[in-house]
Amino acid sequence: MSKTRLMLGIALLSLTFCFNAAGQGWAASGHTVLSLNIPVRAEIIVADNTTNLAETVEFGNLTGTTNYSYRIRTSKTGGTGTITFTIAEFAPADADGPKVSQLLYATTAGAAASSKVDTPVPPSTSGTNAVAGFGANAKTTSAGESGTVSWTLQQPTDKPYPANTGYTSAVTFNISAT
Amino acid sequence: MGRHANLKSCWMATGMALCLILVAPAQTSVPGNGRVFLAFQVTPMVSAITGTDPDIPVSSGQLVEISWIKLRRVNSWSLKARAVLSGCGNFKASALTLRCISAGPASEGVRCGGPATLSETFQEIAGGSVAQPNKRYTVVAAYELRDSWQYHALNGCSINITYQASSQ
Repeated sequence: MSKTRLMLGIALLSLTFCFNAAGQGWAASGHTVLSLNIPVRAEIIVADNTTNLAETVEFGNLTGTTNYSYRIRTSKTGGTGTITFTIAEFAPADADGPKVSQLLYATTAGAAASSKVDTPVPPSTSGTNAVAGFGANAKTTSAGESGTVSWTLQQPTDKPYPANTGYTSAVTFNISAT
Repeated sequence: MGRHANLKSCWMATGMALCLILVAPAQTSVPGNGRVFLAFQVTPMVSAITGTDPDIPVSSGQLVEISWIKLRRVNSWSLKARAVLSGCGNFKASALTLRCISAGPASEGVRCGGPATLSETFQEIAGGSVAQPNKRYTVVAAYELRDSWQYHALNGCSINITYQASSQ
């Protein structure tokens, strides 16, 4: 290496250190990377604050329907979503009154759902009860989707419920997404 | 092209570290506007923006500062940005807006443009009249995301944003 080239190299190396010390350098055009995160999201609205269960046939079962709507988006990989409810025992407690154990429910849900409860099953008061399930990359539009929970209270044929007595059971819906 | 030739010879003669110093300020040619000499600096190099609620759609991300130096006088100029998405599913660049917050120096007639909806073609975010040589011009802008239920959940989709100044 010639002496001139060596000196040039030393001079440029010094400039390089200054350049680095000043932080990010200059370039012909500017570039930056923007990392975008669209988070999972789930919302539910239960349209019916109160669902009345009523006999359709005298001394027959009592039925009613709760309408709900939801919006959801789950993770593309490994994402899941659920709509569930919890239910409390009927009040007031009455030996002849309705029991949650006498109740059955079935559900419908929109196209984004991967599962729902097609065959009526009894709900549990001790945990959550499935309404609908969602898989990875599930998504509704801003209009959302709707579904129903159909209730059937099985009135004992040998011991009908007391007349003119109101019983209530609190049902709380929940939706989640991962 | 002359600059490229210089870089190449430098690379062979002295190595990469010494060649880097020649890149800034670089010489670039803007189509249709003749030869323009400028140098850019964007800070930070990496930003993040996260949707918060598709029902309240506008989320603000980090601010970005774009600075550049003109190496010769120009009569008017504009700063533009474009976005190229990678691995972003059905997300569209048009859901991102770059809003100029401040531009300076004010004494040089630098002005913010309106909010620019990003796309793969350059969109103006700021402009000005005469730009003096060897003077630093700075624009601070904020990314805004218009989240929507139409988008799938995403984690870490990468958007490359390029800034460019052009002059008449």
